[in-house]
Amino acid sequence: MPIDDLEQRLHRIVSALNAISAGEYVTAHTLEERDDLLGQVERSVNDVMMDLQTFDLSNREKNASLEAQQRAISEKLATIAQQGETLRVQEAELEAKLATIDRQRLAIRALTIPVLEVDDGIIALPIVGVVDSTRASDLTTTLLTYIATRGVRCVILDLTGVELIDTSTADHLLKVERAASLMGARCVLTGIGPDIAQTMVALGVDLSQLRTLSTMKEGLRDSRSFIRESSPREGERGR
Amino acid sequence: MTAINDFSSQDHTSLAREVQRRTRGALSLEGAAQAFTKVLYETFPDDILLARVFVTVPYVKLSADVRAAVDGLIQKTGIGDRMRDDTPVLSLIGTTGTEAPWNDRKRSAGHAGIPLATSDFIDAIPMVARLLRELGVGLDWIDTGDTSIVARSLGSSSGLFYVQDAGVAVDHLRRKIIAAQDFVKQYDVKTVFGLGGGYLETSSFLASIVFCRTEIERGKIEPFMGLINRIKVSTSELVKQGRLFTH
Repeated sequence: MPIDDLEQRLHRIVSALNAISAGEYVTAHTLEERDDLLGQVERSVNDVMMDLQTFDLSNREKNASLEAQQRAISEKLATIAQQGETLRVQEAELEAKLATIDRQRLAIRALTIPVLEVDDGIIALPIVGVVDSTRASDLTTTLLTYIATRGVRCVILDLTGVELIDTSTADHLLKVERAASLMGARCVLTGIGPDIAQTMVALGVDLSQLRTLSTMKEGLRDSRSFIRESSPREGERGR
Repeated sequence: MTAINDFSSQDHTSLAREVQRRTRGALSLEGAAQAFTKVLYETFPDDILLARVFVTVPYVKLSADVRAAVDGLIQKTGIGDRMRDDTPVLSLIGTTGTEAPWNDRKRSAGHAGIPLATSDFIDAIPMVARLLRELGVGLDWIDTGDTSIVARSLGSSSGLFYVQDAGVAVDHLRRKIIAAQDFVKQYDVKTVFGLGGGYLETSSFLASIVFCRTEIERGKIEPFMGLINRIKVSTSELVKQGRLFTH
């Protein structure tokens, strides 16, 4: 079977193969496929070229897909970083708020233990609310500071505003009294109403070691009397 | 006669090359799509009843005949307020089948274009909803109008829409995936499969749906997925240049 235009067609085949080997298969011209033996070669070269073009497209699509995924990941990382920054700011704000709350808590604690200087050497501590270990500790510190710095000799612990006295509260109050005594001050407990007294009896709360009086007025009178009696009389001074 | 169930991997390579050979040099995407459906139909005349190719086209760029058909659908379904100039319309661009009207897209006015206007609208068309989901495009982007999903779906032409038996297959809402059951019964449609992929550097997406009158296993369909890239090699420049329809 004769092959038409042999030399020209061989040249075209060589050019196409050169283009393929140079990686230029995307832009290479498709060979005309004639119906002879060389046509089968032309067809095979075209097949290879088409396969390479398809692989090239697949690769470019995969790269584009990867780039799109990388962009999406970068965007997500940026969002996460931004969220991290927002969290840091919120954390700082929260810390500032906690510090404010702490300061306020200290202020409130100070306000819940008011110390009234009711007479020379006599202070009264009207206690309101619940006496837990923290408050008992604050109460002791405040009281001892006053005793030490102001020459306090009598302390009136007024429980009129205390909601409940249980064994734990009683224990705390005894410790306060003991600490005050060690510093040379005398404690009087006042303001124990009938309800609290009944509860204390029911619970077996023992405050017998403390001097107790019904009202703050009586406590003040008692303290003045104590100071008067324990102070040297006018005539005895200087002897 | 060749049967899909008997097709070897070597046969698939030859078919892929034939598809590329017959689609290259087309003057429009429609010309290439028409050639593609013809190759498929002629290769498997005993299996294939109807082969179709769709491409997403922005509403404003639709050909006059497709636009007229889509406008009719928009009016009928009341989605006009959700349509924008750039709303993608899944437009029929190639069709070959056993019935004469199935060989001319202009005689398929009822399926000329499906506007991807809202996810709810598409979700109400089980076959299209499933096709988009299984080809990796999904529906979420439709309401936002973010067509960059096409770029993200590149390289994922591994997506395959597959319904083994059109007469019985249902979706998660127990609806028939192939809703046109009168068509399924009349032509004894069995397996339906779809292939698809996005075009690089564009927001266009190409999808082919093939209705078969034989039941074909999924494993025998999977080798067809590579055909999409063969058409894309032949037509990517046409799509970039906007040469979609043959006027």
